[in-house]
Amino acid sequence: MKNRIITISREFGSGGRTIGKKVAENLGIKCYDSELIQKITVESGFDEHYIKDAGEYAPGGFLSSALLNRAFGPTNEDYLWRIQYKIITELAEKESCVIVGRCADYILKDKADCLKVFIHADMDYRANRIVKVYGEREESPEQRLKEKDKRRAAYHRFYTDMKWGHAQNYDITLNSGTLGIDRCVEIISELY
Amino acid sequence: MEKALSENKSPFATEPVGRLIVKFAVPCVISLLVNSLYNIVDQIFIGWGVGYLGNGATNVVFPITIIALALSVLIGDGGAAYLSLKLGEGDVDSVKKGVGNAFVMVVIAGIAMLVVTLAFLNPIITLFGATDVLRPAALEYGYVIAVGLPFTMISTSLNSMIRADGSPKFAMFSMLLGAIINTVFDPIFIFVFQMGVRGAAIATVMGQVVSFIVSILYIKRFKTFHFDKSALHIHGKICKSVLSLGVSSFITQIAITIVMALSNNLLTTYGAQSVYGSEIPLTAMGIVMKVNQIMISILVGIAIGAQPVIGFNYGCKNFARVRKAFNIAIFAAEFVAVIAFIIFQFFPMSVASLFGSEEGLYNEFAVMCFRIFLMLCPLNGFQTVAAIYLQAIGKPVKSAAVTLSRQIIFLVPAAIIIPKFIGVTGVLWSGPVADGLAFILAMAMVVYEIKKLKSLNINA
Repeated sequence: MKNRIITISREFGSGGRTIGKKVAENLGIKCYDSELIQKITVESGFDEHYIKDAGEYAPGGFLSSALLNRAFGPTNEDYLWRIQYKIITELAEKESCVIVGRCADYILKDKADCLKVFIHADMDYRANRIVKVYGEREESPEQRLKEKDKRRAAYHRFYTDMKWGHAQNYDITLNSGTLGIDRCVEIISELY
Repeated sequence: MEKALSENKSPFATEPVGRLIVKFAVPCVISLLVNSLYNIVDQIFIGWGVGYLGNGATNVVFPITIIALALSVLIGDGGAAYLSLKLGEGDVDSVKKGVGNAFVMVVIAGIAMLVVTLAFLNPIITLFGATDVLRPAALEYGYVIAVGLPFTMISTSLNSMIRADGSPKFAMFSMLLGAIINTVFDPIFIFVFQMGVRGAAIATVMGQVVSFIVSILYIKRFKTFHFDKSALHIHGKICKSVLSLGVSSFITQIAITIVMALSNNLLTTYGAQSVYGSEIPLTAMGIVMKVNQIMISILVGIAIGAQPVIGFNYGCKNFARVRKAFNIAIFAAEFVAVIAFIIFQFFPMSVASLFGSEEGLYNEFAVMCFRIFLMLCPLNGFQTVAAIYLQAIGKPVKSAAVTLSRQIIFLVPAAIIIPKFIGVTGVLWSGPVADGLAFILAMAMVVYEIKKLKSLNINA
């Protein structure tokens, strides 16, 4: 039988990662987040911070994707994608778990019994949240959100045939801004 | 590269940087050189056997070949990238469909190029700068070259995918065999049978057909999947993915075509108003560009050799090794560029006379091309490595800006404006102007990125 997996895709700053962790705690299963990064770090030899960025974000928007030249071999992103793909597949074969981000929904589409969740929230909510969680940066929180979302969408567009954030790709989409993080956790746990 | 990357203790992180670069650069340099020599050998035989008007005639047909090449890399490099991506996912069925769809697309593109070229050869060569003096020979040459287009396009695309399948030597063999056939039959048709440019074209097409046959034979032997007819069913989604992966290769080639067409036209227009006439500038510049292509091939080969080393160590945040690889590549590229500079500046006549001995005016203009147009070629070493460096650290837009600034963004306006004031030599001065400005742009971008690297280094 296929393992039951919850994949959580999320807009930057929507609290998707926190929700994932809490759901896993609730259900008594593992949430692969930093541990997943660890595994990728060991397998690839790349730096952890680099993986956090390049394993989920394209270098830029549409133009970057078009101009990335692969004629002389795969890019670092391609190399990471391959490793990520392999490790996520292995995890899903091993046990039921929660996986946050990293296109797990696409990777596991035929390989596990997935509950595909998308967490989003409006700009203000996320802007407040990232300042609270990650601190102030040079750029305004709005700029950071737009940049991250753009690159996440571009990453999905490139490596999967799914459009990131489009409702038809998910079993449920939740607005963590209006529902609150705890309510989201309850709903997802109930659906599992 | 594929194999090295999948190992845990990657040699990219441990082996000496210099040795790594040499290991990756040498095969790249060789295969790029073979390609540019292919074109030069033809030109040498035509120069001696037909004269410079023969070279001029091939010159106005050459952009057609580049367009064909652009379409082949669009489909072939795209197919190759698709192959390795899907292979990484273990999705063999998609690999098969990707290669099959790419094959169908390149066959269609090849036939389309053939039909369009045969139907419109005369207006096309006019667009690319044909004068009435050159036209008869250019048509004679072009109609034969057109026949070879589908063959060379299919084999070029297949070879990209064959390399990605893990058989770079086979792809190399296919290409080399074609080059050898061309080199052997060129003198036979030109000197023995006195067939002129048509003979050169027939030898070229023969080489292309042989490469085509060799590459086709590989289809049944793909290692990563088993080829069958179902691969040839067209899927819109797959075709779109393949093409979008090849776009960046395509852009580079199309840029070359645009510049060539423009410079041919400017040289004939302004040449006509000078003592040199239309044909001399066009031909001399064509030869000079092809000779320069040898230098560019070596520079690009060095840069490509450094790319995986830079990319991997950037991923490991081992910035000392990134810097070291960058510095070594720059040093090697500059070394080659400076030697080229010395040859172009001090022995231009020796190079020009390889392509046949011609009259005084022709020689004079050829020497000017080398001395003026390639005056700042030492800067090309830095630019080429800078472009690949930016590509390797995940800045594709900046990388494209560096590449295209030299080839188009600065070159085209300079080539249009300067001759308005000083005539035909103005076209030649567009070279150093574009090289100089592009160098400043490349420098600014690299300095910015290296500063960022340093600050990251401190934070890490």
